[in-house]
Amino acid sequence: MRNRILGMLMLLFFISSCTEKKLPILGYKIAKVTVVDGKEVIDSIYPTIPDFEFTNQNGIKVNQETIKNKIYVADFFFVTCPTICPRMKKNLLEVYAKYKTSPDFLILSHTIDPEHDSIAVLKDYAERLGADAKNWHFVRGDRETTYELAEHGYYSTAMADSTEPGGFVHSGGLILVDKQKRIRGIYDGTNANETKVLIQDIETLMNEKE
Amino acid sequence: MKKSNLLILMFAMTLASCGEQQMPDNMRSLATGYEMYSVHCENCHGAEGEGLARLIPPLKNSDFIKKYPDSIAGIIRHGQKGEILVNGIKYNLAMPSNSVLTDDELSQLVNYVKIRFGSVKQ
Ligand code: HEC
Repeated sequence: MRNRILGMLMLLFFISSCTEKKLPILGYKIAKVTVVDGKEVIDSIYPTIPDFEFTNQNGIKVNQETIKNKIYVADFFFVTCPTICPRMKKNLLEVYAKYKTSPDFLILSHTIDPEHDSIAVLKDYAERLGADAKNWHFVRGDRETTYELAEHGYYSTAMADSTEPGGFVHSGGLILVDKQKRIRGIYDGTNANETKVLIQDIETLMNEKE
Repeated sequence: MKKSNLLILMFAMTLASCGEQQMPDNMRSLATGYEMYSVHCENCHGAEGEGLARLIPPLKNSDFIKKYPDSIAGIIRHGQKGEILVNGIKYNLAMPSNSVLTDDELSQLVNYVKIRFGSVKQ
């Protein structure tokens, strides 16, 4: 009897140490009603990033098709930002250096000052930073749409699940999104250590079985 | 203790006590410079004055600071716009003006930048 309990304990221990680390999925589950065979079926699912359409530094459309089956990092910035943006971009450069050759990885940097940050300005900025438009998009759209997406697509979702006192760091957030368009992590992009965690988490996400 | 060692020790003590009136002021000034740098400059120019890619020029070993040491205060106060050449690389992004720094803080910051980033030997 005793041996059996011990054996089971050991087995449990083994199983738990074998399971790989998984990143949390952020946001409250929401009910989704679908009609199957004429019957209403209620599913509870995690919120996803809503569809969007922006233009990148090369004047090319960037939308949900662009991020299809990609793991990506999203951030919000503006070219003339005197405070935290250069710091964020510096940290993002580290992330980029690590994953820019991965075919299923992208960075999406949204300008929140589209009046100043024209396509030409974004192009110059991106080139000076050393970002390739193939996998680091600097995108602009109209201000309203961008703010709306930031608040309701990326931030509020993240905030709803934040366990940190004071909630999610509103500015300077780097948002990690998985291939199912679900938010898997928010990191303070002004902080080099949090950026290291992000780099680690991207790796974890890439190894995750779907 | 050997006699020569004692002499060196005494020499050092004298030096330290002589410097005492000057040192704290100097130190305080550098400390202010350091503080001003972390508050007003570090976000853009980096903790080590390394700059950011081809967007923001470095201060560390900047040949611009060496060439135009007297222009630094003006750049900080009034900002800097237009193409600028630093260590062989062309930069072109606006640096905002800073009207928050007092004149004292400004001169301490300039001093700090020159000493810290190597255009002045201390
Ligand atoms: C918003 C970002 C930003 C901030 C904050 C900032 N700078 Fe700059 N700085 C720049 C940019 C960009 C340039 C290049 C301007 C250009 O292209 O004409 C520059 C240029 C300079 C230069 C001349 C070029 C060189 O690298 O030697 C000096 C010196 C300098 N800055 C010092 C400072 C100091 C000291 C502070 C703090 C008071 C400061 N800057 C704050 C962005 C910034």
